[in-house]
Amino acid sequence: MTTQAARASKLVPVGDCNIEVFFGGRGPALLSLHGARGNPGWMPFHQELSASHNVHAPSHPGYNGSDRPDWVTSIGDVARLHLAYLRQEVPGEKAIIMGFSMGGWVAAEMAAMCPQMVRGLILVDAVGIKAPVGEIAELLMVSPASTQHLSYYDVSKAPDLSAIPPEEQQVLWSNREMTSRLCWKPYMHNPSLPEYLKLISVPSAIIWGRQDGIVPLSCGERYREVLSGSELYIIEECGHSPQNEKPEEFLEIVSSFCQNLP
Amino acid sequence: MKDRVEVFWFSEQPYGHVGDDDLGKYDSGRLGFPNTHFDPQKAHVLYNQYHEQYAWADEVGFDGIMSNEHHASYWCMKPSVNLDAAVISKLTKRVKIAILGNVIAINDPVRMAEEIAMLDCFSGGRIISGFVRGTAVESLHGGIDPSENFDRFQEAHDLIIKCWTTPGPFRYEGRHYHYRAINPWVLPIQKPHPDIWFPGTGSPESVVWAAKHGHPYMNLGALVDVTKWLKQIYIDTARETGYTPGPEHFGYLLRALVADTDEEAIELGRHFMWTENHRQRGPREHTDPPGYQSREALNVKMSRPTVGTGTYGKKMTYDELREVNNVIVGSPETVTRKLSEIIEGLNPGYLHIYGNEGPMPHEASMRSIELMGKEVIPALHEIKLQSYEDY
Repeated sequence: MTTQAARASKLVPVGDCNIEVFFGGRGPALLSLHGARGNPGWMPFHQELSASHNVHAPSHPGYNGSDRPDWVTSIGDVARLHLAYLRQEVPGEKAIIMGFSMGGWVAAEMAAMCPQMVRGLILVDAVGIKAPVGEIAELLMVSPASTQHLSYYDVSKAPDLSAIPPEEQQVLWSNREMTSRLCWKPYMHNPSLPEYLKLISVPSAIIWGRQDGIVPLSCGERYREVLSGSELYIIEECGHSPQNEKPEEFLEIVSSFCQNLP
Repeated sequence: MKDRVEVFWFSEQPYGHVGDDDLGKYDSGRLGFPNTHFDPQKAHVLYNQYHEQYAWADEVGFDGIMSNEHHASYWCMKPSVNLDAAVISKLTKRVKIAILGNVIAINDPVRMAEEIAMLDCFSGGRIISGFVRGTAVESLHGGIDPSENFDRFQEAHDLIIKCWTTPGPFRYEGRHYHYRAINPWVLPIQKPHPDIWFPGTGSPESVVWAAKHGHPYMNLGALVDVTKWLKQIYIDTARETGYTPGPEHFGYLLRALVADTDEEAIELGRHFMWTENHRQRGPREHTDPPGYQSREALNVKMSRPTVGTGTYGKKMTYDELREVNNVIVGSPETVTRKLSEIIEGLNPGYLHIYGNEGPMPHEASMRSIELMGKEVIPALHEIKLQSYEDY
């Protein structure tokens, strides 16, 4: 199968909201949903997956280059917009939905709303469920720098936040405004989500860094409990972002999950 | 037009038993400073002293008493301004009571309307009802998303006025607030409702909002030239909105203390610098969290001209603050002279005396109130305020 790398992003109107999307590749549809920090763009794992998938990595409404409609005030609203995006851009096709951290919460809500549209669900260190043990770290009332040690097992692999240029800092600040709007209360979770997920059946991979200091592993274990037929993959010596800290192991799990999907 | 200044007593009611050593160990003076440093027995003593000061201010000649509200703050023991206003209304006979103000974005607006109406009835119509957005810490402590603060503030403002002016029962369905039967039995004495004030420290968007609504704007202690710039924005916005403002639309707060001699006052006044480095200290996410200010507001701030002394936001020493009349201390003659300069320069309809701080002795506050009321205020009342027509 030929591949096609994303060279740029495009704006896709979905209802009244322009969604910024990085995209590339051919094959079955795969939607990649970023976390609360914002859309990192076309990542190496997107490039790898685009060898065999039609990869779409949109910016959530209110983040990066996407519009911020007033009516989008909850993760459920975000999920509905992305479902509409899929119906429009890959009509009639089931998609693999992969979400990181807050994007994992969006992905889980989408699966709960429209399981018939989801071929497979990949949740990576996802928020969305109240931690049965421990708690999801405070991110909005503290500086990003102060949580770096919670995000990475090996802090030396963490990006140097002071090196981020001012324009990009402004985008990150603006993204945090949107996270505040979407995730303030209840903080980073929907109390009903575990119950929604018990009602569906979707092949699911739950991937977690063993030392995730942002979202406790107990959330991953809870996702596995409530999602029938799911599997929990724990990556050792890894923090909140396996795709950055352990990219090879992460990609191996994702690729093999995707290949084995019915 | 209002041509005589009204002078208000104001005490933040600090918990003066903490110092720099207690505070220095923590990353924040507010949300991060543990409340295990609070002793309710000590607070009992302090509250009663502050209440005694209120009664005295009423007796010796102040025109009003202003009060405020903060949360998680060792320097302001008033998490409910309405409770304080209730005390003032029963301790005093004649002063106006300025609530500046209720943090309406973090409270239930219908209950706010009811409580303020009660206070107006308690006091025989002496309430001025200020509404504030609060510092961001008020939202964080109240569990309210700071990115919703201004939106909630505006909706709560409109709804409270509706509660006072629309006969009940009525139904209200808004963006943040929803009620299907509103019918508050208690309504304010003052019709259509008590005056509404809006405070600000330095941001132009606060001034613009107040001016567009015709609400008097109270500047809380910015330097005089910054204040003049903000006042001009108020006047310009008011004209665009279709009215000519006057001194009745503008008030100013500063720190002031009177003692029998200049020397004594200068020494006592050093308490105004109590724990000044810690009061609002904390990460940016506490003081200016994402979404608390609009992107437009941030742009305005970034393009703000450096005004006059250009020291807004810069740390100043006690002597420097005295030099620019931001802190005014002295004998009755000295304070009268300096406050007269302020009044003649700014023509404020209301002057708020931030009168004590930290561990300042109660007796010193009582003496200051007495000298202010008996000697300074009568002299300030002699000044004829100028209209804003030529601004």
